[in-house]
Formats: sequence, C-alpha cells, structure tokens
Amino acid sequence: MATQSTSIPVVCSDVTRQYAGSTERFGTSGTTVTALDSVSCEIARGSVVGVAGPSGSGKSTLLHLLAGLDTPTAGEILIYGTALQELSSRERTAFRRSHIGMVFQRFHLLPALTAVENVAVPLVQAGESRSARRNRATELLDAVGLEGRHTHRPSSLSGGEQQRVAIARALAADPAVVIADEPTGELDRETGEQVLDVLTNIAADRAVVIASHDEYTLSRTDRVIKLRDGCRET
Amino acid sequence: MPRDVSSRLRQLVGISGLGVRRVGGRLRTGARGRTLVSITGVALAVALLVVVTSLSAGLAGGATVQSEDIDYWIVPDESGAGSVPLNAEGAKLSEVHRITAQLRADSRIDYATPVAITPIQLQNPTTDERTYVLALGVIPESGRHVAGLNTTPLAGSYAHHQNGSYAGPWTGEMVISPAVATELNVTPDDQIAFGGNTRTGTVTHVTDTNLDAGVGEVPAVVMPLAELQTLTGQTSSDTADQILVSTTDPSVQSLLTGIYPGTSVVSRAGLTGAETSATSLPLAMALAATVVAGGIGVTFVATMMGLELTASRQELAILGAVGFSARARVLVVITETVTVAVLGGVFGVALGAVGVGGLNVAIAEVVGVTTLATLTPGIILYALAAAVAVGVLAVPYPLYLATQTDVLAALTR
Repeated sequence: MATQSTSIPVVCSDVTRQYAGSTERFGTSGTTVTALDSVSCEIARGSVVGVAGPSGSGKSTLLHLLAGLDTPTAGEILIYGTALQELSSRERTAFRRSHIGMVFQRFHLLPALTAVENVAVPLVQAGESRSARRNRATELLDAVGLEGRHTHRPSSLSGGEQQRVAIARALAADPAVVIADEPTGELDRETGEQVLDVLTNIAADRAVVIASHDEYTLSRTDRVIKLRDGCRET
Repeated sequence: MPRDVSSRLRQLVGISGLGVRRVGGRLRTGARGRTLVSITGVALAVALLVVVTSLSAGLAGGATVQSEDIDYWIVPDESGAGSVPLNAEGAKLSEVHRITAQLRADSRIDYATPVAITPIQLQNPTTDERTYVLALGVIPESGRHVAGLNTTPLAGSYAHHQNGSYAGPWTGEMVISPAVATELNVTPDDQIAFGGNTRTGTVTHVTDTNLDAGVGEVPAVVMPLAELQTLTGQTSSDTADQILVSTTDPSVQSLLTGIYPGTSVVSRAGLTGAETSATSLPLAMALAATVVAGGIGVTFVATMMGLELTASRQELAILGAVGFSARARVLVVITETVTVAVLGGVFGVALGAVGVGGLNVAIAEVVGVTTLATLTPGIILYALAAAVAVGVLAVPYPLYLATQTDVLAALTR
C-alpha cells in the first residue's frame, strides 16, 4: 500500500473539503460550507510542520483529511504514495493503523485503561502478542518520561502526563506520520513545552504535523502552513 | 499454526481482552455506576432463576425432607393422592407381606409396612357401647408412627401372620385414639369386641392425639395388619390399601415406582395433595423462571449498556482513530456486554445460593420440611449459561448504537 521510499511522505494537491446541507459539525442546513479550499502542501520526512490559523480556518479539517478520518471533496492526498481519497473507509482505517499516529487536544485516552494499556491499544488489532504489546508500550512510556506511571489510569495523571501517554500511543505502531491537533491547547506553558520537546524529538525519522493557534507552539516547528477561511495564505 | 492464523487469533483474543479490561477498569474507576447497575440487574435475575429452578429441581426430584425420614406411600392410582393415609375405598395392593419383606431387605429402607385402612365396629363388652372407628392395620415397630398413631406398644406382637399363613397366635392388641377411648369408655387393658366377629381385642395404649383426617378428628385404632386382614376377610390375597416406606435416601423412590403396576409413589408432601413424581409443575416453574429472568436480564443489560455506550461513544471513536476497524469495535462492544452479563451471572449464582439456603430455612420453619430447594452443579452451569444468553440477547441494541457512531463526529464533539 505505502511506498516508504517515496522521498516526500505527505503530499496534498488542491485539496478541497465541502460539507453539504445539514451537518452536525457545522450546525448549518441547506447550504454548502467549504471548510478547505484547494489547499496544497508537502511535508518532508524529519520535519515538524505547523498548521496555523484562527478558529474555523480549516486546520482541523486538514488534519482529519491527512489522518484519513475524512475524505476530500476534490484534490489528492498522498501519504507515502498512497492516495487516501481512493481508499475505502475500511482501507483507510487499516492504513491509519500502521502509518499514522494521532494526538488530540483533549488527549482522548480510554479512562478505564492504565497508561500502558492505553499505549498498547493500537497494537491490539495489529495482532501483536500481549507481551510484545506490553514491552513496546513500556518502552514508549519510558521514552516520553513516564517511568513509574505505567499502571496509572488517566484520572490519576496530570494533563501533561496524559498528553505524553497520548503521544506514546500515537507512536505505538511506529507510524511514518504523526498528526497532532492542538496538542498543547489544554496545558500550561511549562507542560506544553515538555510535550513539544517530545513531539519535536520524534520527528527525526517521521513527518510531524502540529495544528495550533499558539504562537509559541508554532515557533517550535520547522515550517508553518497558514490557513484562513479554508484557504492557504501565501 | 500458520502465522496468519495465529496473528488473527491473537488479534481476536486481544480485542476481546480489551473489552473485558474496559469493563474491569470501569468498575475500578468513578465511572462504575451504569456498569454496576447492569451487573446488579443480571445478578438479581439470575438469582431468581437459581432459586426457582432449585425449587423446581427439588420438587421434581422428590428431594423433599432429605434431612429427616422420608415417608413414601405406594398407592393404587385409583385411590389418588389427596387422602393418602385415609383412603378406605378403591383398589388394593396384593401380596403385601411378601413385597414388604423385600423392601425391608433393602439397606436404604429404614422401615416399611403395608397399611390396611378399614372402618370397623368396636364394642365395649362391659357397657355395650358401640362405635365405628377407622382401623389401620400395620406391621408395628418400636418408635414408628402411622398417621400420627404410635405403633410402639404393638411392637413385638406381630405373630398372627407367619410364613405366608395366618395361623399364628391372635394377640388382639390395639392402640386407640382418645376419641375411641371416650366413645367406648375404655382404658388400657380393657377388652374390646369386634362387631360381627367372635374375636376380641385388648386396649394396649391410648394415644395422646387423635387422627385428624382434615375434616375433623376421626376415632381410629392401630392394630396388627394380619389381624385386621383376618377380621375383614382380606387374607386370601394378602391385601392392603398402601405400603408406607420410611427412608433417608430419596433414590428409593425409583425402586418403589417399579414394584406395582398401576400405582403411584407419593411422598410426605402427598399429604397436602401434591404428587412429587411425573408432574409438569416443576418444569413449568423452571421455564417461567427462565423467561422472567431472561426478560429482566436482557432489558437491564441492553438498556444500561446502551446508556453506557451513548455516554462513551467518544471512546469508540478513539478506537476508530487509532486504527480499530468497525468490526473490531463491534467485537469490543459485544465482549463488554457479554462480560457484564457473565459478571452478573456469577454474582447471581452466589446470591441465588444464599436465596436457596434462606428459602429452605424459611420453609423448614413454616412447613417443617427441610431442603426443599436443591442447588446442584447443573443448575449453576445452567444459570451461567443463561447469563451468557442474556448478554448475547442484549447485544443488538448497544451494537446498533455502536454502528451508528461516526468516528469524526464523535471525536470533534
């Protein structure tokens, strides 16, 4: 499916996303909303790219399209040569499982599971053995500085710790692309810096995309794609 | 095992395990409310199932009064079970001395006696007072009661019937009820004449209590069976109305069932008109319990898991975001639902066991019958299987909600 040798892992060409009629997300009816309008970009391996813009500018929409959670109305999204828009929903889920890691603003950990179980979740459907899952999760939690917090549930972790668990989970399947939507949005400055340290460190052999409207967060990226009203600013 | 197959198996086990861990984790966190209610609902339903099924099994197996002597009566079918010890009409059992001897040879049987029940006329030869009484003819033994009348005073006097003939000595001994003593104005050692017969008898003992036949106190006497048979002309085919068997082993019931064709075996419960064998009541009770418990359980689990899923729809979306296919998410929901039902089943069995114990204690207190409900390993397995069935039947509703979950919409909510 993916061709790891492709030099530029993420390529968006004239990507447009429109929502027609009533949608839960936009609360509109009878109209067509263009959330993203002919946006093109390339994200190289080893780089951290920021996506900036005010609320409603299309940042999250672009990230959802890159993650294969949504499909573009027009245009093309290539992840290591695979055109996401040509995949079925099931194929996109399978692709996401092995190639894309996601980090959310509100962490989105499973509250009933411990930190190590949360990190191991993406490996479950990959058919990894229980011990392999646990070893990998332990290794990743240690890597993001959460030694000794493995058996804690999200409710007993701080916001920064939860986000680091979320980053470890995003890295579990060793994805080529990590997408983070406002990863520091719920954190104080100091904790946010720690999380950004982790995110920038993992970019050595993968592409990292961070959507944020926080200037400091964007300053930690290699390059920023600015969006306004669904269009890319030049 | 091929790598693909083992990988798939690990995948299946891993996904199912995730569902189980999520239920377990939920119970250990503050979000345990709905899950606990679901488990409690199933537990109550399964406990009800266990209690009623144990009661049904106890009735169907004739396991009543296990801890005490169990009295069985072999009675001709025509006589019915409604008035077991008092039936004076209808078909008779023949060769009762020979059959009783066979029964007494069985080590499981403590005591067996034929019982002939015949109204006879007694007379006080001194005062010429006469009355009709119900005569019970038995093979007496020390410490035994028949129809509440003590046979101990007659023990050791069974001599009239020997080796198949009625040529033995006539004792004429009889135990009489207070009503007879009053009517005839007799006391122990007084002579008694039998109406229409030249033989005489002797009052050996007057019991403390009368025979209550359900419609009032009946004047009754207990006397050796062979002598009653001689008085009433039942010696030719050695007949009696029923055979009473005392045992502590319920397995005897099957032996008794096969002795006479056209007879029924009733237990002590038969005194109140309930036949313990070949009845459809226990089955009907068990089926009703299954339907009721199943209905309650399915409703509880489906509703509560539906609410749980509605509240945690975002978690399913997270699974989708990290690469769980729709099928895998469905499996997680199924596992969670069945796990909740099974947990309810386990607690329900424990609760049911307590209920069975309590029921038996209460029945022993009120009715005087112990161990009416019987909890067996089979019933435990049945209850657990019912809990699994509840979980499976409750799956469609949460499953419907799961399939309706839009990953993106739930994540961005």
